[in-house]
Amino acid sequence: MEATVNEKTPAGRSEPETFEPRIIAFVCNWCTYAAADLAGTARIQYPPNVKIVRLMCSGAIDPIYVLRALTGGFDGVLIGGCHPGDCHYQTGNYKARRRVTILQKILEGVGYDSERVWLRWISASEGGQFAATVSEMVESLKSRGPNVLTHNWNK
Amino acid sequence: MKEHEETRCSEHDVCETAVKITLDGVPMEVEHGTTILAAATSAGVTIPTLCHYGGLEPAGACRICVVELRTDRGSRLVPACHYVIEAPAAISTNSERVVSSRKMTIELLLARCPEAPALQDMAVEYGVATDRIASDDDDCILCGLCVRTCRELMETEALSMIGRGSNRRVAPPYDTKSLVCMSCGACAFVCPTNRIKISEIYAGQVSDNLSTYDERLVPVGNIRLNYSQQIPKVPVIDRDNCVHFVTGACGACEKICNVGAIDYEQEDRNETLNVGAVIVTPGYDSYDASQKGALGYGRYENVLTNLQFERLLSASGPCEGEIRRPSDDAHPRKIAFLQCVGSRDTNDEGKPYCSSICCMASIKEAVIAREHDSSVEPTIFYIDMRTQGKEFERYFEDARNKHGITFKRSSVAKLYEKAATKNLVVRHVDEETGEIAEEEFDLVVLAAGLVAHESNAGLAESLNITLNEHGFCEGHPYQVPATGGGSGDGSGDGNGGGNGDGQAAEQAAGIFTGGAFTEPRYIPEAVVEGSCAASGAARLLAEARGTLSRKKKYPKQLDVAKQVPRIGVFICRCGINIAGTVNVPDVVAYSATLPNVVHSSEFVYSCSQDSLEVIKETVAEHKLNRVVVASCTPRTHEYLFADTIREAGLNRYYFELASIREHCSWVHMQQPEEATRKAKELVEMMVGKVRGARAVSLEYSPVVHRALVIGGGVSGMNAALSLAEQGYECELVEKETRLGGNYLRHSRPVMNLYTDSYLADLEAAVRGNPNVTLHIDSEVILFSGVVGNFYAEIRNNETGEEHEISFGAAVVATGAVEREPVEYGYGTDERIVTQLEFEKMLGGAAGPGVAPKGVVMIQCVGSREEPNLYCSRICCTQAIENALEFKRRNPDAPVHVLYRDIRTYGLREELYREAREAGVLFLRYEVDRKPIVESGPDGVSVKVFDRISEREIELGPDLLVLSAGLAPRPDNEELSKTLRVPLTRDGFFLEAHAKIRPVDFTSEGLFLAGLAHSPRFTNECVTQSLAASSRAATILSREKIESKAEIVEVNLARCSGCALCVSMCPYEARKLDEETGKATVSDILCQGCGACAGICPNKATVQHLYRQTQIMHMLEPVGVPAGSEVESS
Repeated sequence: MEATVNEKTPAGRSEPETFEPRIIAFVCNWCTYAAADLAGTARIQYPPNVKIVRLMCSGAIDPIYVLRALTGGFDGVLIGGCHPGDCHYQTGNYKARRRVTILQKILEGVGYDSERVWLRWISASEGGQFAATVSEMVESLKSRGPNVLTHNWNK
Repeated sequence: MKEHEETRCSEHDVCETAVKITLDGVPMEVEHGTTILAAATSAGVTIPTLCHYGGLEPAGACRICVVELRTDRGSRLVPACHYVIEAPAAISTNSERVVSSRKMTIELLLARCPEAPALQDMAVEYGVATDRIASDDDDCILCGLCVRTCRELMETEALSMIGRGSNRRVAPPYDTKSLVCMSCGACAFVCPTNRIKISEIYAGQVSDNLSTYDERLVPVGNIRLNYSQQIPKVPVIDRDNCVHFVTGACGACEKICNVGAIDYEQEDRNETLNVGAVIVTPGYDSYDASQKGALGYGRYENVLTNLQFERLLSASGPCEGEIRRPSDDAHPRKIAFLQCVGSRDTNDEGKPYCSSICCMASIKEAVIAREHDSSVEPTIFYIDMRTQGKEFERYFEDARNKHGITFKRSSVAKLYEKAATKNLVVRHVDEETGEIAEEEFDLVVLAAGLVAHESNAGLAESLNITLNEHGFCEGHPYQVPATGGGSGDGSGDGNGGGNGDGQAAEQAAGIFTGGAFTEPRYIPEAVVEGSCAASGAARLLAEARGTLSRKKKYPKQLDVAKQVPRIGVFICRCGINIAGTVNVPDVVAYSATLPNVVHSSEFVYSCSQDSLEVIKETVAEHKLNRVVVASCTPRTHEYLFADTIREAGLNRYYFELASIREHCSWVHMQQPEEATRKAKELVEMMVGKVRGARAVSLEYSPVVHRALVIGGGVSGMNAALSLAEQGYECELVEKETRLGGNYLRHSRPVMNLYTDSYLADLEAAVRGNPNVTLHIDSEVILFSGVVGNFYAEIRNNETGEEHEISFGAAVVATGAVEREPVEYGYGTDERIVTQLEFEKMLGGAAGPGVAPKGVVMIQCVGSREEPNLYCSRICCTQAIENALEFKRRNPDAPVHVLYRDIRTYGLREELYREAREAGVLFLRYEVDRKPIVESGPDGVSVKVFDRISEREIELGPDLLVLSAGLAPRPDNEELSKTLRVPLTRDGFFLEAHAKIRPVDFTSEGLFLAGLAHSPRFTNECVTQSLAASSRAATILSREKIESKAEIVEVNLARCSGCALCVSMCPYEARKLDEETGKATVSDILCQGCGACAGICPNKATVQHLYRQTQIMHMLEPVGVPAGSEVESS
């Protein structure tokens, strides 16, 4: 199909006047993804700064995804998993917790802000919690400013 | 579309099928005669209005919707709602002139009605000054929408404009409350400023239509989803209350619905089904608590029922999980839970039986209330605490000791309200002092009991089954567990067949019951009953199994793996759900520019049948090999779309769904531009993901249609027989030298529920069934394999002979043992016996002989306290049964039962009452002040402190009977290791989910029944074993088992054999091949969590559907080139 578009300009690439952080969320299929769905059906409004990548389990998070997001232009990474003890795959959320903790240490070790990576337990019934977490994260990232890791990486 | 217009315009002299206009500079064609507002709405352009309502003729009263119209005759402002497009024109919805006019209108209206939220919002949006004009304090903008609605739609004229000039206002005619008003509420619904109060219009008493689902806590509309889980999820019209159905007026919904979904002509239909079995599970009703007038329900606002409180606690409830009391929406601090409301109540208005579930339900509600709000102080007033289920006792103890919940043993007869605060004063007997006490609470929750469902009577009549005096199905399951199957094939002799719940079957063959149809039940028991009833039907219909099922046919799958991706993108408008916020044409245009996208288009509803056809045609036309639909959450229609491309010949995993409704339009409703940008990026992410997709073919392995049942007691035999009669071979392994298990230890029929020959009949049926292979005096010594394909070795204890067997599913029914007491001098004196021993004495011809000094029983011996912090469930009823039997033989000899709580749950409560009437004396003791037993040559002495008389009582019975309870088998631990299944802290086997999977193990293909699960009555064991057979049959009935799509695979060239993946896997699906040193995957064991793929340092492990390349593609739409992903492709 032929469509007329002047130029490929997805917003978000242009620099807005005020800093709007870009967040990528890696979320568990069984809990946080469902919570995001619930926020939708309940029409709970939250900032449009987040985009969701569905994984089957938070334990499937590969640290390279987080690093890629941070070097690739995202200002924050949210990882959403089931509450402790509730993992659909028994212990995946604990695996996520270990990996994120280590990754945060590494980020701190090389002088970057580990608070750009959030791990949160949000169950399928916590739509409001998902929206609140996104809002909170946007505020937090606004106060931290743009992600220098992206800038330095692509220098 | 053109044909349609031609017919419409054919009568006009000047007929133009379409008129060319520009809307805000965008050229478009609209149908001749369309209003500007309608044209703008369909183009996704929002024009604000106040007085417009889709079901009414436009009035142009509020002047908010003005737009600028430029024709060859010049430029002017016109109301968009009213102006009909008949000639080419340029329309501007946001020109300077329009905005200026709109601002002036808003300013004037706001000055009149400064408090109207709709106007305040508009004022903020348009930056209207609010201080230039002196404010009035009106709240009506005189748009007349209410009056028009009442007149035109409702055909009622209960509202009118009265007065002139500055005195003009909306009121009922003659400014008198209206008698013709129907209090339908339409005027209030349409009012843009929330001015209308029905009570000021309607002459009668306004009564809301209250939500049944939300337990009458909130009003509901007449078109509604009754609850969010409704299937199909389509709103229905409440015909009893809808104005259209009541008076014939209105019909607004039909006019407004732009897809024409409203059909007033639909009628209920009777359908005739030809079936071989009927399963009856009508559920229960709640006791009407208003019958207990002294407890104030229905009179005092802050008295709720337990179900109402459940709704308050629910996140989907009226307060979204916040606890607010009805009178003032305040957060209550002190909450009283009153137990046994309408239950255990022999008054006329009450029910004599125990409702079983309320104690545990109230504890749960109190605990959750504390979780929601830690300042809540719950107090539970109760008679006996009945937490007899698995793990319930710990929950109760935790509630008391860790969660700060107060328990008061006191039945509350009366409460009253304090007028000023609407607080409630609960009058009760103080446990410590024995005096009447009063305590004030902010909220009272009544544990209203369970009563027979109102539909029971009709069901009973049409199914020809009998109800008992309480309205439950006659012959509650604790009375008659069954022997054989109900198929009438001769095996079900004895009690006449049926299943464990088979009384109904006895009355009418082929009818099986479950749940609270027979008595109040907990969720796990109801679930077990459901599976049990299914097993009854499956036995009956074994021969017909699968004969009516049909298989869907798909075209041959195209091999597109080597083709360059050709991606088709379909964006869904979802009516206005997406298009109302997201600029869909913009997203379509953007999608077309993305790499490998060869087609993009939009649908109004992409899930509709014709849209699916279009998708299939487009796949063929453009030779698409990958498809993205951007619409709602994948949970609603992902399968539908994936199946559609499968029908088009593609592997269904060449599909991805972008959630631009739940994750975009619905959550960014105020930010259309940002939402449109995000929707584009979400589509781009999924286009990236689908580009890296690979076909997935599922692995299948054949199922061995044979079961293993471990344990040859009543549970094991019932499970085996049920499976055998469903047509599956069954290997039954019993450790002892004969079948029968614990039942052999009963010397007389338990609770008179069984015929004397029950066990013999059951054994004969098992032995006589050619599908059953018996392994007596044998044990399972080795167990391996996966669901559908297990393997075990069985050793005969006597001969040492070993058998190898293969099977598709297994049932564990190994039973439990009576605990041998170490307390109260057991074993030192032959006059001190256990309940089972006592039962044996009573069963013997001689009985316990003459026992003039009577019997003392001590309950909860070694139970309900550490280290056995569980209730054995059966002992209270067992003790009462034995006490009654003893009384029948020795009417004058005293019987004392020393107890902590009497737990004769459900209909067993009648036995408790019978025992008290027969003169059995019940004395309660506290766990920290247990009875003291001494025995000597003169006899046995039992000293117990009686709280009522506050003194120690000394009893000198002929016999002391100890209710020792049930203990897990000591060899459970060994078996749990062999089978690799978990045990509870108490040593019983642990099911997959206490409530919804009560007879499944977490390991697929393994099931659990009887005392191995937890203490329970024999009849409950039977029900459970039949349920387990039913669950096992869900595996055995399949031809093959398929692997999950999202499992992992190994790229052997990359694998270094580090075994990190092996350590990650909770399912033993990952192994290291000893020969090659490379990691392997069991496709059947793998559950697809992806934890191993995430940790693999070489990216040798790849998860299907979530390949690293795919995820990396998804991270691209921020403007950074990709290219550093590690996975080769």
